[in-house]
Amino acid sequence: MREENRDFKAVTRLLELTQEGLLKWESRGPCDDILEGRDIVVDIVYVAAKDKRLLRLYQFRYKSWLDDVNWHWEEDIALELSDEKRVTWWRFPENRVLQDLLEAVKFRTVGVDQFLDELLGQ
Amino acid sequence: MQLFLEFPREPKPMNHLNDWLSIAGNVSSILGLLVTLVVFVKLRHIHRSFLFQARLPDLRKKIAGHRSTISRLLSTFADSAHEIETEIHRCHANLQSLRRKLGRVHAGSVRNLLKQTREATKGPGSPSRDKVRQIYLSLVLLEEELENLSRDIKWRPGE
Repeated sequence: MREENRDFKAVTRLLELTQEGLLKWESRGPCDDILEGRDIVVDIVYVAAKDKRLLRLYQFRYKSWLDDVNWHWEEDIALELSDEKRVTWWRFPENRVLQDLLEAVKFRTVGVDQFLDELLGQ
Repeated sequence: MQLFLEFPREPKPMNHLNDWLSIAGNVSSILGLLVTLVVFVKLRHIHRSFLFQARLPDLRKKIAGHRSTISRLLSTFADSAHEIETEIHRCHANLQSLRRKLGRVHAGSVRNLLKQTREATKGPGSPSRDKVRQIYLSLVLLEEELENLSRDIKWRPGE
């Protein structure tokens, strides 16, 4: 199996587990180790434990320099395998399923489902 | 009857010329028809590629929208049967539009996806979670393919 294909399948599996509520994620504030000066901005880091490993998922903005003076913000999503000491072992390659994974994690963590149930039940 | 038998059997040189001109005229007509057909096919191709290039960003956005919506609905699968079915129907309509604009080489994955959306929505009851997930994955791959195609077009405008 190709490495790229394995990554894709792994992220898809995490999405599946999250959507079915089998993988629990927690939201935490931005971790200092991610921030590199003022070039990277992270809002919330989502953390989940899976098979004695820690998964970290977060959206970040980074400065993309056009030349020596001009720059603009770009956004990306990172999914990492790390340990309790926040040491990143490995980062999953870019994958468009990560966007859906982040949305699914937000949906579960923020409790959108319960909120909608309560609101519509009133 | 007598007069007919006396008609000269050997054609005159002028008749030879007439025959050749007639043959040349016929050949030219056939060649003209072939050229017209080739021009028609080429124009159709240019029209399709122009239309495709113009519509590609919009179609990519729509496919991404379907992918994202189906993913969101998978989080509340049990309560979203009707919404999922509606989304798959909408996705099917956009895929049909996309298939008409794509060339034969790239239409394969759209055809497969169309088959999946058709199977998921036919028959009584709502589609199973596995079928919806399969459609989601195929949409991810199609989006990837369209993105690559879009990059290729930038380098080969005639494609």
